[in-house]
Amino acid sequence: MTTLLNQPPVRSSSPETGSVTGPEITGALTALELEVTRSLQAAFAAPVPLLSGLDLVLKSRQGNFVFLRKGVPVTPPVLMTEPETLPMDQVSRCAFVVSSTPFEVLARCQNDPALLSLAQLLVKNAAGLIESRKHEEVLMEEIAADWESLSALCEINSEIFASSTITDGTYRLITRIASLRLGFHGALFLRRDNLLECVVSTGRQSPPVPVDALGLLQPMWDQRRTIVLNKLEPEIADDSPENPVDDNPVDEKDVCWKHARCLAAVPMLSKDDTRGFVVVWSELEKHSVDTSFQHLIDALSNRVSMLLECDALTNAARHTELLEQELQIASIIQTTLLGGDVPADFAGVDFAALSIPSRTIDGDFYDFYKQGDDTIDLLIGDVMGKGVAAALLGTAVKNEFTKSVLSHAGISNGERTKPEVVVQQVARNLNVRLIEVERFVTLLYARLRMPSRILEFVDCGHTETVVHRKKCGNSFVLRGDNVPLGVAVRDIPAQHAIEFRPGDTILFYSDGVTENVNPSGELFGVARLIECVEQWSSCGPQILLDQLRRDSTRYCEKSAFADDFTAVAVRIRLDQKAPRHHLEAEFPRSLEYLSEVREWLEKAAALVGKEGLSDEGLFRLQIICTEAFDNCVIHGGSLPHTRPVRLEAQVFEDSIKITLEHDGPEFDPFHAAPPSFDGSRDNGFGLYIMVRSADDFAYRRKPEGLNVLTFSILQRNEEAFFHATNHYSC
Amino acid sequence: MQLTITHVNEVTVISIDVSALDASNSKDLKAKVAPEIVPGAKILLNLSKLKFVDSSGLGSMLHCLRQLEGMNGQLKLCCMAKPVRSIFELVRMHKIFEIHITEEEALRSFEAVLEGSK
Repeated sequence: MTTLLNQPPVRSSSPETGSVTGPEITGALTALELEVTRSLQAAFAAPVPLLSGLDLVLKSRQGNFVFLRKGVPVTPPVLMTEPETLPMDQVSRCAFVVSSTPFEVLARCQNDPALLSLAQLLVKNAAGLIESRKHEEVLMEEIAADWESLSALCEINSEIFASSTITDGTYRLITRIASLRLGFHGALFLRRDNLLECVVSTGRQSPPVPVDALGLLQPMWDQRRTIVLNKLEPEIADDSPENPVDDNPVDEKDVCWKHARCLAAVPMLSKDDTRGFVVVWSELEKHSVDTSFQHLIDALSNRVSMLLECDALTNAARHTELLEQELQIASIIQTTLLGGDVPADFAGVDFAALSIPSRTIDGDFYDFYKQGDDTIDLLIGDVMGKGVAAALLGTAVKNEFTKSVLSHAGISNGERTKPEVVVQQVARNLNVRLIEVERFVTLLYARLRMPSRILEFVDCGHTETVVHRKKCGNSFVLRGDNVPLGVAVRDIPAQHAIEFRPGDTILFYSDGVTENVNPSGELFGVARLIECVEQWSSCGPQILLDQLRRDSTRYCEKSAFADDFTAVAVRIRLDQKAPRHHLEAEFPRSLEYLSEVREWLEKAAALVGKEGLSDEGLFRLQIICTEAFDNCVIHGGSLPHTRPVRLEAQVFEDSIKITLEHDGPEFDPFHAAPPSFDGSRDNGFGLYIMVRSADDFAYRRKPEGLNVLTFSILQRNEEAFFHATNHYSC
Repeated sequence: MQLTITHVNEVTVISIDVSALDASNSKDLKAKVAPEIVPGAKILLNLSKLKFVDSSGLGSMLHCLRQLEGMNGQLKLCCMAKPVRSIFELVRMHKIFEIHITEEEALRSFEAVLEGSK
């Protein structure tokens, strides 16, 4: 409405007589002024009786005054030129800003300052409301502008997925880009070697363009960025300065955008290459590429980029996906078929197994075959190769062993079939087939014979078996001399045998354990494995394997191993039936009593068979007990009413077992930080020394709040003094 | 804790005159050795009487070693009994400390360094 814009403002001598109608006023005010007026009106339309005596005057930009009278429910604003004529004696001035435009409102009433300050407040509120509504409108506009692009993008996204081929998909995209503005064309160029070929064009067709002869578009290509060119002269667009005009109409300068008056070109960037570009142009002089259109082209071109990238990745992934599926199957086989049930009730021996399949699945397998109450067989093996084939082969080998074990079950002439015979049958059945498929299997088949404490083993090219012998305080490895299955038909696997002792720990493992590498590429190796066995074997096979896993993870600094990680640990329990002597003592929890504790231990140790525990054994006993006593004083000693430390000694023929009981906070001896051996810390050795020096070590927490440590020392009957670690093969 | 401190040339020889060094007296060792830990000091701990050391005893010796090394001094050990040596080996401290079999050998090693630096 601009009807009254050029007319002189209505003059009036008083507000009552100077009333004019709404439309006329709107014409005399700017849209913003009108809006402010209406807001003020709305604010003062609130049914507050107090406000009835109030008049407001808003000064318009054209010098008009809008008079708002309160007191009537719907008061039309009154336009005036002379506010001074208003018969009010009290005036309050209120200034505010809406949409960067300053406003001033005069509130008038008759002799009521309170009413004036109330009016001020209302005006300010109204102004604030207008301002926030304005801001909202701007936001809405922006959203509305984006909405178009968003819906276009959305539609295109679904179109892409509906398209069956990459050509179809890019064609739809380019068509869509071009149709965003009437009269625009779009084209997609893809790189092949040093030529850019026009794959899709909604305008004229284009010949291939060399990557270094893009003319106008060269900066886009060279700098890998979007360019926008407006106000082009057609002859400039067809720029070919170094080339004379050719008679051939389809020469390499006859590009599709040659007649463009404005254009935008977006490079299709992949990780380290430019795959091609999208160009959008119009040949109409009136057209230009504005910022919002450029953004839209950018966004859609990005979609084309993604589409191309996806296509490349899909092609690469198709292959990987098959592999991935295979790995999943292999992993299932590994976890369900390749492992065995760890025997829990075999007298005098504890077993534990750990099998962590790697991403690649190597077909590690293990199993246990219980042969009556006193004999148990154990199989561990590793198929060379990876994936489903290796996993299936692993199960096939296991099957053959089950068959062979079953067919040789039972005792004939007081003897069981020897382990080598079991393996020989498997070898006969599998060798030829394995050679056919060009696979081989390393394995170890072992038998533990309990009453006689004999370990028989058939080693077919498997990793060395680690034995740690507490009775001697040393470790050695077992190695056989048979070749893996699937290598030679003529090789007849043969067995070896060793005696084992109470306190022995035997560790069978796959090469994934020792061939774990740290970030600098060094192997974990057998020496570290032996170190781990020597440190933790006193705590039993399960804790040993838990710690082996921790050590290995810490070593390779990864949570996932590169190869299958399989280990079976066996520990022969100490012979501790019917103690010869039983002693008990209590010591106040104070460090002063340490020497008394050691004296008491010395007395108890003297009762061990063959005239007492050796000096070496006594020293280990004393150091473990001293460390344990230190710990309970240091960590639990400050508590009030702490009970004395209770010690109990059970003395056996060739060992002594100490139980140390004390109250205090619960602790976890198996998850303490490893000690630092570089001399940088004074403490942290206590638990390490205890666990390592003991031949058997256990911790438990009693429900009544007691920590119970038990540890045993074996009488060593061989001259393997202290912590000697002589490694030899058997 | 009973210590015997003698001076042989520039070397302070400290003999530990107890049979056990454990949590009950290791702080005492630190306190008694502390006055000898001065810049450039050469200290030899003679452990011949010691039959038993626990981790806190080891810790107190490590503490002295680090302090001396921080002051350009030296700490060497000698005359270690077999069980004491076994504990040093168990926590690999035999690689951190310079350990001599006899006091004479240890004293000569200090001299050798002196001559070498001349």
